[in-house]
Amino acid sequence: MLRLIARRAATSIVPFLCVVIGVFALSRMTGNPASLYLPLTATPAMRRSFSASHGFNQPVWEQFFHYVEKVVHGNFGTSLWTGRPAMSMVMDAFPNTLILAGITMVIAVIVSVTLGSWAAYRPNSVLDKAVSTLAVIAASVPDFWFALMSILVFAVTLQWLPTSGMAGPVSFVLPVLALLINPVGVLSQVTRGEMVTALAAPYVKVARSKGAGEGRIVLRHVLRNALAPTVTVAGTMAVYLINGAVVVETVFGWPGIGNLTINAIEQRDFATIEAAVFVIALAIFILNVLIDVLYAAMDPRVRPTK
Amino acid sequence: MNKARLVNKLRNGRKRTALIAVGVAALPFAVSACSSSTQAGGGSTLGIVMGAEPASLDPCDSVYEATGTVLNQNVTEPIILRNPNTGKMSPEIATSWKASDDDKQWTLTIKSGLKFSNGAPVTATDVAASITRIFKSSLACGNTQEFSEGTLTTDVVSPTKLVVNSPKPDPILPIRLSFVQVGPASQMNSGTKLRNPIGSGPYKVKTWQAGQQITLVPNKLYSGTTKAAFQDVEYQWRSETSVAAAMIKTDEADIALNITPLDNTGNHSVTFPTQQVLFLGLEGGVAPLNNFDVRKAIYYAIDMKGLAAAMFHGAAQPATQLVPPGAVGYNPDLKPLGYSPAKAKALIAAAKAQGANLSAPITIFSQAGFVPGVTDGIEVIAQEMRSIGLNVQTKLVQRPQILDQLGPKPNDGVTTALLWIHGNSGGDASFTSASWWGSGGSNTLFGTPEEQAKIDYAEAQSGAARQKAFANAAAYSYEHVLGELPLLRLDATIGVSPDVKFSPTADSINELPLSEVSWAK
Repeated sequence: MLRLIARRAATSIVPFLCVVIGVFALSRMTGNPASLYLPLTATPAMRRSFSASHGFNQPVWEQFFHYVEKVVHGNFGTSLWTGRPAMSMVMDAFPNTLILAGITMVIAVIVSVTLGSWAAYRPNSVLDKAVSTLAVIAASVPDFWFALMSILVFAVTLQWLPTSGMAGPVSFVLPVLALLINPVGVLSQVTRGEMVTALAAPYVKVARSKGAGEGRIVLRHVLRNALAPTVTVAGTMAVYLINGAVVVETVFGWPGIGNLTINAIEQRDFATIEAAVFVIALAIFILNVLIDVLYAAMDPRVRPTK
Repeated sequence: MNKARLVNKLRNGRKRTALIAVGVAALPFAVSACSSSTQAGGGSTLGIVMGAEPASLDPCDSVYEATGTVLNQNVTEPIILRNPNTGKMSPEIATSWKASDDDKQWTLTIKSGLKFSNGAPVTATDVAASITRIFKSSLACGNTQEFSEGTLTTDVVSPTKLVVNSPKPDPILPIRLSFVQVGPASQMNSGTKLRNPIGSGPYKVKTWQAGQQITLVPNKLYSGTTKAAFQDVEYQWRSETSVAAAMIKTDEADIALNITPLDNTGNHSVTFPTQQVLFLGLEGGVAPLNNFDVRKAIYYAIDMKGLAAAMFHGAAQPATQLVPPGAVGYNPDLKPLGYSPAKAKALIAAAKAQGANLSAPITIFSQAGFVPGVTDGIEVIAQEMRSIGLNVQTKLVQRPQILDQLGPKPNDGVTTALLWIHGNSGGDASFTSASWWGSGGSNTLFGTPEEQAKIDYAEAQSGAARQKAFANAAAYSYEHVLGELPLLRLDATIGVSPDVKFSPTADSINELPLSEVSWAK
């Protein structure tokens, strides 16, 4: 397993470095922040002074050198926008996204595996058709629309839940619901497809002929084989959520990394953009390794041979 | 396992599943019932929802909407207080102010006995440090935009006496000083933006939970007349205006700033005119905009009502000048020219007869996303200009590219028109002429020497003569220059819960003094 982790880490390091370098290049292409931070009435001397005090007048290669130094030390400097250390801002926001993504993915996997398995166990039944139809609808609904509608129904009309914000456990319900809808739709379809294939496999017939119970067949044999592709797809969806579910965070005023990154981009806040992308890239890198480890644990065929 | 046992097990399983489903469904409501709600709306906590989180709570950024809403007259107090409706100046930190004969030196008397919320006395040194802070280039303070006459210097004469020096004669320096929020010198000398400012206002900052909310509580050392009426004031921010409006309906907030007329607050919203004016700046030195008839024809060709509908859901009125009503220099006698394609075409024909090069392309620039309806608005204007025979294209760009188009620029082969918004919150026409009016404005695309002479004359006046001179200059610009076509004066909409009493002023999008808000019952 350690070899697998080492191999995966080695192959992921190149894209990770590309992202870290790419964010520097792309943020510099958006222009000098002096044009944004200083009022339009600012004189050229004020703009020059601002650029000089923040190092934006240095040659790009020199700025890049300082940037690499910051990456190595994990200290991205001070946010132009707020005056706070950029990494502190990111580390304030990232756990909020992580909690939201974690809760969403746990519920999404449980619900979709249950629904998908249920539907696959009775193929072409009314239940199967109902689950498949709901899954297609769920996978197709735009999340911003669903988020706004859920606020209208549960907060404004029924007044059961708060509209937005992050104040207590109850405020998680609507954002999680809005984030859940798409993964549940996709994952239940994937689970159903894999389960239908697995249920028709010869080893299931053999197990039944040996008198194994249906529960044991489904849980011990079929589900275990069918779950691996579901885990892979779930991993991809978790990456999307960790990346910052920007739309949902914006609608619900959720203080997560997506919201922070968008604001930092709008404000040309290079330090925060770089810190945010660094943390997100690192998290995705770790998540990918974890998914591979989980995949290998579930399916011995993908484990590296000695 | 026989079939009967299997069926029984599945039935039991279904019961368990049903129970789990009911439990999961009930969970949010159970949690809701158990969680202690700290929601605003009623009670002793006033809830205010804004469009964005403040970047800082630094007094030197108090002109920014989010910062000013929290700070101004709540946490910090200005040196001099200006009434946004009447323009009247009244004492605040300074009890009196007097100019030298050349209007370059202003002597301020500082109120004695005032204390900051940390217990330190408010002295002339603190006021001087608050002024100096605005001009620190490394801080890029937003308030610098109100000091177009140059960097101010200060001489502290005594703890209650301060001399403020302007590099140029400045008869309206007291107005500029109304933008200076005062903090203790210990904070004002810091080289970083402040997040927990200390002030002498009726409230002080209790907490700022980054990304979530700012809470103010009463400042017990406040000695002014407008005592704190709320035990807590919670500021939150939602960029989605419909969610901010919904918070009024659900009683999660008492005031929702900067929503749109389309957002549903359950009829609990107020729409009011602001000091912001949408205008089309024209590069009048280059063909075809170097012909006055062409500039006037463009004005006739634009349907202001249609533009207001396209850009602002109708929440705007035709404007006749960049200076808003209530400001010194506003000319109430100027009337909108009105929408008349026929008159526009006649003027274009006249210009053609004069030999104007009408085929020269005009590019209308604006900043992408600077108001929600800019994409539609810029196309509406372009189409109307094309309909009278002009060759027009549009470009939505980012701010650095906008800067390239401002002020005097070399003949780059591009005839520029700029769709932009100017907000004169200073209450004097000179805040407009410094940037967007006359050839002396730092960003103006066109002005004539005659127009600038009238503006220069007005800027040197004070009192009633200043009002008259600026009004004359405005009339001259409107009738003879039209370098900037004033299009629409914008409205703002604020959601106000039935739990509170609050009547917005034209300045309410920039600052919200809590003394103007009270519980309805």
